[in-house]
Amino acid sequence: MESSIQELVTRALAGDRPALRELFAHVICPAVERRLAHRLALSGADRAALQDHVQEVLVHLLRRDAEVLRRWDPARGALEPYVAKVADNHLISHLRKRPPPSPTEDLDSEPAASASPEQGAAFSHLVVRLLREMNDNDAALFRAVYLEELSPDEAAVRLGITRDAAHKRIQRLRARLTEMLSPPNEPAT
Amino acid sequence: MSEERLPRAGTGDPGGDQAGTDDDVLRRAAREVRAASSLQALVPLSAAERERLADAAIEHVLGAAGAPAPSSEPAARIPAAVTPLVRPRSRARAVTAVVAASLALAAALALYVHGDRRAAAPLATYAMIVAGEQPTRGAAPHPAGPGVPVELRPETRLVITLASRQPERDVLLRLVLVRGGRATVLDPPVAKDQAGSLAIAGPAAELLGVQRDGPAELVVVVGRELPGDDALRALVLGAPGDAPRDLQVLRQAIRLAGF
Repeated sequence: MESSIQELVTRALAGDRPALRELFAHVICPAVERRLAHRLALSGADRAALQDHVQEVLVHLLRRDAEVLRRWDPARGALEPYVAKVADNHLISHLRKRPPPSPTEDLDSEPAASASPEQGAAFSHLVVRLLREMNDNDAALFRAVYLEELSPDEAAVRLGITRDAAHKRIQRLRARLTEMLSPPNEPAT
Repeated sequence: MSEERLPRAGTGDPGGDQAGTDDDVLRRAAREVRAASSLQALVPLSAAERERLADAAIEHVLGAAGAPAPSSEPAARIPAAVTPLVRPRSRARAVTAVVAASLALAAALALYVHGDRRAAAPLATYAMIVAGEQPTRGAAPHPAGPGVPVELRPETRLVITLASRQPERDVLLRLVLVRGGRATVLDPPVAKDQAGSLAIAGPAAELLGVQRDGPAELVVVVGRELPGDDALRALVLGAPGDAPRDLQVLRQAIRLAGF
């Protein structure tokens, strides 16, 4: 898999435009998206904001004769972690340039607040809470399995973890959400 | 863990519950994510959206597809482009507020690699106020003087406020919980008001996560650039005098009860 990606990168950097499109649309774009999705979602950023950030990272990789993409050394690691690091740096750089955020009227307000019925709103609140508790790895797994609808085994391969680890993490997330849903005086089973 | 308890592998049911029914709470959570407009950033982009983004980026840097194709020689490089990105969607302005809000949280989440650049002006001095179960208590902006521990119960609304007479425009902060010689970096949402004060607020159980009862310490590190998580942990566990001059380390003793 990685060797084919390496070949694709080589072709793209050699001027093969279809290869460049294939690389960016189907390899780099999903990798950047995966890296930024959890953090942006937690902050209430919408889909348009995600697309803005992803596109800015793609442009950054291509600028100045694809200088940043050319710095990737396959001998030092796979492309996805490298791209993820570039995406991290992009977010950091973006933060430095931005003015301070507008004051928050209600510090406790949840980004997912909606006009849904009370029970639905409560569940929405718990989902946001679970997302906040998740580390990046758990969030990536949740996203892969439940939103991209990969099988846990496929997700494990993508995330570079064992199948057992993927299953255990999913079980742990499920148990945590179930615990949150349980009444306070009724311990989750 | 038995195989029956594991999520099923089919794409139609990636996470079936233990009974094999479709009421898996995580599946329900995924539906909630898809339905919540404010969580759309977590929903994967479609292949068409990804292709549009790739095309836009490539066209922006390389020009339109009709332009002469680069040579297949390795030496034929992609031409440089220095113009700023023109966002292809008109929604960009509409989401500015959302992005700004996202950056507030991302400021707390950002994994900062220690940079070389240091601003010339010294960082303004911040004071930390931690409000918990007891009346508001002040914490000195110096590690010495932890004061009386602030009592926190899971349901306590914990409010950590950092204020300065001359608030910084680009200041960042990280919150760390220290107990038993271990430092846990927390990533709560951070709000900033018009006066430049920074605040973290919410139920203690949400901000601190699962905890045991007992004494602990809340440590906030403030700076224009912040170290990565490992360096941050080392910093808050180190001696008070070890803090770099461009960072401020503010501490407040707390006592957890009822967790």
